Amino acid sequence: MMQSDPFAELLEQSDSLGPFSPCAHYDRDGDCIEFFLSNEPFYAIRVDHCITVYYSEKTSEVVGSQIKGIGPLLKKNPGFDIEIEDGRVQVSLILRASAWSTGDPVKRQSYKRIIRAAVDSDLKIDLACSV
Amino acid sequence: MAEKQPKGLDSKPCNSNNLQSMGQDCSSPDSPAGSHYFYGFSAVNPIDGKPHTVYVSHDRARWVATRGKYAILEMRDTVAHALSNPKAIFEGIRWEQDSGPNGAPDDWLCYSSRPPTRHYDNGARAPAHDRVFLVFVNFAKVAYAWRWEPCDPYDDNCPIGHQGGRFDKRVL
Repeated sequence: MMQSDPFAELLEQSDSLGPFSPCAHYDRDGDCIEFFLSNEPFYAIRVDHCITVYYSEKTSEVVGSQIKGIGPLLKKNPGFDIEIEDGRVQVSLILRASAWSTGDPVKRQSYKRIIRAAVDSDLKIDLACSV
Repeated sequence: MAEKQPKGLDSKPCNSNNLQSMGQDCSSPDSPAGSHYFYGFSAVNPIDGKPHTVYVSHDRARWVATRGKYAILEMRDTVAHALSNPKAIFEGIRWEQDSGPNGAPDDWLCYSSRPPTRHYDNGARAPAHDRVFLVFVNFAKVAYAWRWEPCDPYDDNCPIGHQGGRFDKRVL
């Protein structure tokens, strides 16, 4: 019996997608959040054990990020839940929670840049998936 | 609402049930009968050098698809290449924590590869100079992230920082 090609099906289904808009996603297998402000090809620069920033291959502008260790981060900051409204929270606040434990000035600049991008995009994520 | 769900992709929103099962419903990579898995890739097992299977979840596949066709093709072609033709494999991705999620030992892996070409959003496929393609695999052999990073100028098979404590050890 012929098996269907899941990639072909996914490619076909992707035709029905509308224009790209900034989006965030919690991956439970990696316990990490990934978000994209643009869907262009990117390269990644790891800042520290918590965040990796994605930069456009064309313009070197920030186009996204990965935030790791969401479970431990929320355990370490139990009061973070006051920021959650209707189950959702600003991605920029999660970045700030990581940034405030960073002393390295170079890393802080990277945090500042990605936090600004997340604030400007007003990205939110459903943390019910991760806590 | 900024968080995007792909239309027509049978997307299933996250819900509180995910909390209880975080990282646990994939604990048996040898029996991927559950609907959690989208695809199983043949990968090099760094322990014995023989093939084993690394899975991608439906959830991850749907998320990748939100970035368009080139991202889907990257998942199909480049991830497959990286897992079956790694130039290096590192163990211990989460070295700054006491252990991995769920208290598991930190045996998560990072496959580093030099695929001959890369997919672009204009449909082109061209070499990726000065880049390595990394695939991150958790303890249950589920690939949860992949991306291009600048290669180490002294070892172009590895990402920058590979010798600076980023990983516990190199296993291939």
